[in-house]
Amino acid sequence: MSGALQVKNLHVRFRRPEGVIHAVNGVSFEVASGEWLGILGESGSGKSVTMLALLGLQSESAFVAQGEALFGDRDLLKLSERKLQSVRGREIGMIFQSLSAGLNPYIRIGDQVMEPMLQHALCRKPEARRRALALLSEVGLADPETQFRRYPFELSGGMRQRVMTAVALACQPQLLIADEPTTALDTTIAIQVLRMLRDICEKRQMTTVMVTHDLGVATNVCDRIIVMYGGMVMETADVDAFVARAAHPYTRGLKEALVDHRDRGRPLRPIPGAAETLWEAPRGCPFAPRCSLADERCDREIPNLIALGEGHEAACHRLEEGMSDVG
Amino acid sequence: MSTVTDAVAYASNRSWRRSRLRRGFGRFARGPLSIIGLIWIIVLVVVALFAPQLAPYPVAGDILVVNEAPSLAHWFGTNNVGQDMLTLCMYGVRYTLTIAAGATILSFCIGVFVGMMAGLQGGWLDQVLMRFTDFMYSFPSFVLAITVIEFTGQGIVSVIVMLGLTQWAGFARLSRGMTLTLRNSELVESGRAIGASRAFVIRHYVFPHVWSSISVYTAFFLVNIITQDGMLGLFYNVGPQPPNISFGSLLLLNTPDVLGFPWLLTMPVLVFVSILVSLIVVGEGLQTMLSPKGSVNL
Repeated sequence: MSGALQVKNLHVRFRRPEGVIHAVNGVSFEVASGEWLGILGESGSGKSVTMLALLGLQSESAFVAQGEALFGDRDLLKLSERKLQSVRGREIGMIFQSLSAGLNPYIRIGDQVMEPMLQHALCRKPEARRRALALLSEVGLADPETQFRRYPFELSGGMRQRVMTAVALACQPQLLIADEPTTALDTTIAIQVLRMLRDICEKRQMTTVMVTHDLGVATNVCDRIIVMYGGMVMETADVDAFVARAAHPYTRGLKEALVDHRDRGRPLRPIPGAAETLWEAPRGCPFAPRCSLADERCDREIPNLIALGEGHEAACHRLEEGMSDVG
Repeated sequence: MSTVTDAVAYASNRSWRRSRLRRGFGRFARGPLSIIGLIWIIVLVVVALFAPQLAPYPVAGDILVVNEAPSLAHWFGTNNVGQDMLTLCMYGVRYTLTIAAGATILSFCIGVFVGMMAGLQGGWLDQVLMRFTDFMYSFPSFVLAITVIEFTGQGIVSVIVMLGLTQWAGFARLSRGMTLTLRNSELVESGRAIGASRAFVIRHYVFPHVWSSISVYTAFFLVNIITQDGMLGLFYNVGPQPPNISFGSLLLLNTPDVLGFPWLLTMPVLVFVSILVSLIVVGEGLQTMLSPKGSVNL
């Protein structure tokens, strides 16, 4: 399996009147083709910005300071806007979080599903219409003929999310980026939508990167999970290793903050503090201020990702020291 | 049991689109005033379009029926040169609505173009355009209008152009505001994410929002333009000269005779005010209809 997408040492910053926010600080990861990768992190961890930057969709105050993103043989970060336009929607589909903003409220949903095909001149209108109807039923919308003529506000949240998926899949992209696709849905609908997504991705052998802050969602659908904090990768592991042997203090903190029905009565332990805005590039581990295991080395030195097992890496000085103690 | 649900499903399927329209219109029609206003505007537009055919007498007037009180023959009376006041009012409506439509379209185009340009480009262009807009907003546009009309002549076209060129600042400000909130929105992002070109995103994602945010303003803008045109005619004698008639010039010409023959003033003023009031009422109906309050979808 060759890598579908390879991100190397990505840095994204925001220009603000008060200074520069260092949102993403050297993120590297690789997505194997056909894989479902989850990027897990709390608000402000840089996960969404990373994804938007790949497609050149970051807000105007944001800029990519460094890094490359190899998609096939091209570096997405170096493509011109015009070239990127031909990649967006055609080779890389994107699903958004917001149910109200992900679809254009003034356009009938049928036309919205047809639009990517027409923009990329894949086919003409009658054919696009036929494909759009097929897509709508593929994403599980009952009675696509009727839905075709409706406006987004006439649909429920789950239906809208399905339509958004249909739009993203319209041109049969190799890579699907889903930015918190289920955050705005309630749990039962979220599960249905995720199941639908998972089925379609498997059927089409599509590579998927899903951004989420929901540990449960991530462990349920992803093949592999990357944990981000402070614009850096904290830990990456296959989902089984992640569930069984998550090693990074931040990841363990996340899991302890979760309700576990098998362990009733255990008090929930939230991670103390809150993520801070990074007005300068972190000098040490970004999680150090909130970490119970941190010492002064963590403030001073950025930890490297160290291999903990097959496909399992974490960036933590404590783990590194623990390993060398054992070894 | 199942027949009931079937019937409901059937009804909701059949009348889906119509009922949505009806719901929107129902909110508009909640105040009967809006409907009356709308009907009256439609009547006036018909009058404006067909004034030459509908007018009961020629504009020139008949010297034998000078200063007659309203009667069955002359509903609105006649003036000191024997012109039928109803005829004059009909031509006045024609003139006024032409000016209003023309100047509003012109202002709208200039203002929305400037506002969206400023909002989309940002940076120094935004600064320059918006400072210019502020300048236009505070500039005594009447002075400019009168001066230019002195040079260009008194035609309808010059009044439209003058009002259009001087009154667009409000459109620019509103459309810039809306554009700015949209520029970095997820909505525009989603449009770009399908690989759409910039022009496509502007046309289909930005402009519809700008339009919906200024449609009510446009209705009230018409009122403003009509008032301004009336003032130009009445106080500055700017506007079409006889035989063309504006409400302003109509009032101006008739004022000296008002004491003896009050209908010369009352009738045109009533028609003039009715235009303004019905536009305001329709604008308010539009506002209620488009307001997010009460637009809950079940």
